[in-house]
Amino acid sequence: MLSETLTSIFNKLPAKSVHAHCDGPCGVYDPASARIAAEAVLSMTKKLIALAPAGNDQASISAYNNTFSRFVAIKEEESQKAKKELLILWTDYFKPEHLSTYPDLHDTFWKAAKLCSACKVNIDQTKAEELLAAVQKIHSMFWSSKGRSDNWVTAS
Amino acid sequence: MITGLQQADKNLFHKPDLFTLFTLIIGYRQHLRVVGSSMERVLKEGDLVTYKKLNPKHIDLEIGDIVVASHPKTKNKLIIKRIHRIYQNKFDLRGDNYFSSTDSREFGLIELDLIIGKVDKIFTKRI
Repeated sequence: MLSETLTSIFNKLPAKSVHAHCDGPCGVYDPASARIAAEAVLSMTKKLIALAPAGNDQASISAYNNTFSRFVAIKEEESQKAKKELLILWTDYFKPEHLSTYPDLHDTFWKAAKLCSACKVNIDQTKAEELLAAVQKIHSMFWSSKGRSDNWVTAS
Repeated sequence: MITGLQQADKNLFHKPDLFTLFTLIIGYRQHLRVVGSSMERVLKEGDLVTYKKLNPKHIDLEIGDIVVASHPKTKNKLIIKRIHRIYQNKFDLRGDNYFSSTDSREFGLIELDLIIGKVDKIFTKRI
């Protein structure tokens, strides 16, 4: 009881911050990380839609459940990864001055982040394709903002 | 307990106790809340650390110590890093999380007078 109370007090104790973070951005950004994650989401979504038990016996059902769970877990993980990578680009790379060139920048990122959530919640190939398309749009914005026109190449 | 840490780091971890709380409340000890991930796995965001202020008459800093220092370029900002090397009273401070740390690799060696104290206790939610 005393231990729990003390732990609670220590956790809430007001304290000045001491920084253990990276305050000098390395400046290395690349939408490729988001693209790979979005591709994985689409791939897992397609596999989930196509997945069916090999038979009605217990072994087949167990194998199906196991594979289904694994596919869902990967889809969940990659959706979250895509969202994280997009948020890094949105909040760290893009600056207010980019808005004049890309007036729909905020809307594009906001919708892309929403699509990441939708892909987690559902098994929806359309949403997964929309996510990949949104990442492609961000890819184009990103590279053109750097004055480069890198081609869109997917891994799958 | 967090596994895989050096013994010296393990020794820094303590469970909250009444005596420490009392010393914090009366201001006898200094405490800080960690922000950021450059000292992971030893320190995580939200951990509470206490530190001993440096005694100018008896500097007992060693390589491997975790220290609190003033940021060399930003006023009123405290940083927490590990002593990586000592060169003639100048300190090479590094974060444990090599890929996510702004440290002496970027801002150079730290003068002794910027080092405020040595971390002597860590209170974390992880144990």
